[in-house]
Amino acid sequence: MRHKKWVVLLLVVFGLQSILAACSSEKPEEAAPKAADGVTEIVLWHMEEPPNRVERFKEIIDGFNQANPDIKIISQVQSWGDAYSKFPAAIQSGNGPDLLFTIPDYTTLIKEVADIQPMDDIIASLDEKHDFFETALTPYQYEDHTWAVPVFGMGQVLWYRSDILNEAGLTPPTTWDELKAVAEKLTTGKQYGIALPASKSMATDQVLYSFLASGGAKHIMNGSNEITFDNEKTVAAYQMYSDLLQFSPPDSNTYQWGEPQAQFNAGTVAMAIEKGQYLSTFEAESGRPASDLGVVPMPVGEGGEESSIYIPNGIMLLTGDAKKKEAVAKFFEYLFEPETYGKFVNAEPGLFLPVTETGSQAESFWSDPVISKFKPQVEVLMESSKKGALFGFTDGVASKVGVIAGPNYIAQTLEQMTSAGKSAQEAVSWGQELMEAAVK
Amino acid sequence: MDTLGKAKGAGRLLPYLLVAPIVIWIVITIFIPLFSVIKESFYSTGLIGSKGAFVGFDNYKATLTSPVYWGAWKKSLVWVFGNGLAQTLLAFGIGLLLNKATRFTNWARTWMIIPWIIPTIVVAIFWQWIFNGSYGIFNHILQALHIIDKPINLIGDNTWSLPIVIFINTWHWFPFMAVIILAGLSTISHEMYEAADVDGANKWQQFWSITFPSLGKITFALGLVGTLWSFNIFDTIYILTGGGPAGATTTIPVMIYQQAFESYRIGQASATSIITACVLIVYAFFFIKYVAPKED
Amino acid sequence: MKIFRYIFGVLLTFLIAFPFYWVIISSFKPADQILKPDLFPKVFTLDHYRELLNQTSYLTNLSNSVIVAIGTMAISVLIVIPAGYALYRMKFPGRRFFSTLILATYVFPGILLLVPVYQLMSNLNLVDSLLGLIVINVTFAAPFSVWLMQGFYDSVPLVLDEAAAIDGASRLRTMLVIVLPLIGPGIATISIYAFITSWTEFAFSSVLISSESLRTLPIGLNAIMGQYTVRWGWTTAGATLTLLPVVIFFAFVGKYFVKGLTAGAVK
Repeated sequence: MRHKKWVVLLLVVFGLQSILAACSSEKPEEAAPKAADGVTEIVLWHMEEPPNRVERFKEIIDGFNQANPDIKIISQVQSWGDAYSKFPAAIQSGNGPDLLFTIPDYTTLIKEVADIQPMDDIIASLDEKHDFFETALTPYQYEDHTWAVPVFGMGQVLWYRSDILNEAGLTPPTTWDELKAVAEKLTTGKQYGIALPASKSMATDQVLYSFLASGGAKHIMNGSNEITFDNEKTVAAYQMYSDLLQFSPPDSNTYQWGEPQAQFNAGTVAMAIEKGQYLSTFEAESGRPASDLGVVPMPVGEGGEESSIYIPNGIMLLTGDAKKKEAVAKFFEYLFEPETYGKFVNAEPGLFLPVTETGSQAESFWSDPVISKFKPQVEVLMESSKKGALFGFTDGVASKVGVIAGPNYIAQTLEQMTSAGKSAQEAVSWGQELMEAAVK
Repeated sequence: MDTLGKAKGAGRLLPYLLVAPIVIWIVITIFIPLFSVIKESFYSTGLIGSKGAFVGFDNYKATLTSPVYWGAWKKSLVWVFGNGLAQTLLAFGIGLLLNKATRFTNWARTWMIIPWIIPTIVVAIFWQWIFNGSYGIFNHILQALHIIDKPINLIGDNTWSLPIVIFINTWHWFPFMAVIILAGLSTISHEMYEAADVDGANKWQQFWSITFPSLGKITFALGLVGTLWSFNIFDTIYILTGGGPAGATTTIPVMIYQQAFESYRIGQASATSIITACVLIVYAFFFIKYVAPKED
Repeated sequence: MKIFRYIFGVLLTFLIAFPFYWVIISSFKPADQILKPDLFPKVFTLDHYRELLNQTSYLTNLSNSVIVAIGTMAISVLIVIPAGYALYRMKFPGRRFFSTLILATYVFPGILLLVPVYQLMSNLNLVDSLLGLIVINVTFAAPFSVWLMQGFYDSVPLVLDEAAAIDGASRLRTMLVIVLPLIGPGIATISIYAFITSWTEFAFSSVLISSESLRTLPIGLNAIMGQYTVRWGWTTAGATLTLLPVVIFFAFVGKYFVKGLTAGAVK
């Protein structure tokens, strides 16, 4: 008797499940074409959450929608935190966007699960008109296509407080040795020479990579996914980083993006290696004039070259729908027009750098109040971003760079030195092993 | 009793109809998704949604032979015992403190639960702000008292991070435990203590001979549900430390999350979950079998 | 002994109250003072609040949180009360199995269910809708609520049901007319429990919601913390605004919740 009931219950459960399954297989057809009244709707997801960026992107998109009544771009703010869990699931179940912001390693990863459309035509016509920078374009070019339209770049430089350096009679460093010497001299009492992140985070990955790039160790893997991380120059870069950590505040191993900047603005540290977001808040938070915000390219290590991390952010197209594609092409045309484009990248002045020749000369870019005030600093940022590099994209495109970036292996290698007490060589070998296991 | 015992005809179905909504609800939202976890555990799936190959028990073998997995178990055990101990002590302390019903204790009972009603992310902000390694008030106080001369960074410290995260989670949860324990204490009649007083038992003896045994059902529930709850806590740890530094706070749920969403090994993460769930089921089974207070 | 109790009480009060005090008071300090350890602000400012309310969709998030919490509350009560009645007042084959099944919900690490639950919700067309959040919150709130109801049901003498049966009332009628009014405090308790569970939920809300206009408060707060800047003024003000509504709610109903738990839950 009892058993019968269980059987019934189980049947009900499986019945429900198959109904659900049936529903799901029917859904895509009804969900796809929504343009009943002749308006093509395009859903765009971006992950730039701070309110000022959200607001500016919205302005730009509203402008486009008004000029093109037959197209409606709907922008939705997402979080990078969900990019690896929610987005793939959303895309697979037909709830994904038509346009998705990206960075190069994310594109290699998402390509496995989503039907990313080649954007060769759009790129070709934009390139002709506006001339893309090579460093921005190449990380998206592999397998005979271009997989995203780069929209802005981010590059790292060495920021310094010129008030603090001047007072100590020091000049900004150009080599690692000088950097170490300056950091040491400026570490006194409550003040530290430099703020470096040492947590397991993307922020640490990036600053560390600026050291790898400037120390001649920018190739951590090649186009056939072979890991070339364990070498003398990598070890030297890690040694340098951990030496510098003595002159960084004691809580560096919880630092991500914001903390070094907060310390820098508070005047408790004299230097930091970061991207251009330092411009907009400097005066208000430090109470110092704009001229006290000093900047030089990333210092160079022995046997290295002038370089640092450079991350071109792009937009991918996830729909094959011809009508939508046409609308998207129109949107990019509008976006890269110099008068719009400058406004767009200045959603976060200094952090988002133009990726086109016309954009980098555009009046709308340079006339921004923050950009015009910090003009010399912005020029350093733009100059050094042209020499930038990105791990996994230096020696061919490593299709599996995503599994190196995701778990922050570059930062984890450092943690092996700072927390687990390994030597630089031991830590780098440990990193090499983990990376090899990850790409297998 | 007879009038209720033998329902006839349609009446026999009534209890099933009454439990059906919640059972169906749970089956759909927990057990059906669970099937797909079980399925994935036999595939080499990488990023969610990508197609993996069938690999049999490879994922299980990989997890069971991984030193990282067993290291995470060690941290999880410390986590569960640490939380259990700290929360029980604090909750009992509060329980005994507020057991007498007066206007003040009634008021205090209501408001002491407030750490439990706020979202985890707010709890994390609270304590990150207090323990901040550069300008946290905690460091200022210790420095003012000359206990330390340089700020310390507890949340990011190799040895301190796990205890500190346990402390923060305890702060979040002990009020709830305290209310449950208060509930238990309120069932003990005064006469029992008075009788014990007459017998000359001191407070300590009274606690062990009267208070503690009377809380049988409570301790059982907390021992079972509380342990499972606390074992599966993920957000507090992840928001505070992300599992670091160098894996010092990587408990099993954090490890599962990292495998799935940072290393993009959904198949592997699924196998790890299934193995872990099995261990928890065995724990629950033995706990129910040997610790459950006898019914009726 | 008494002095020991007193000290313990003061310490506990401090432990519970200080973090609240410190974060709330920090949120009123101007940006250039917030990093200083003053126990009381030299200057009060509402700047952080003004900026937050102007630049984020706090009020929308708030109303979403309230809608989801009330929905979770209502459905939890609707499915928990009948189930509790069956499990604790009726005898039928499979009773033990069902109560084990319901509590077994807590065995699985919720975090791994994120993805399959997303796929399930997508099949049900509940992604990016508040209803989807309600559905999953009920799953997390209901099992413990069932357990909580046991004490309340046990405290109503079975004799009442028997008497009703002799009078010819059906079981369903007995439940609704005789037992239900007597477990009022229990209903209040599990309602509040469901409300709080829903209010604090984070992981599933962040995965299931895409539109900004459907975010709940914790998700909104997480977005405020952003990715590039540590603005303790905003963070502390955001935290204060996130906890404020639930504290106000609790000021009205907390009494019943705690009383309900302490009085009826365990017999």
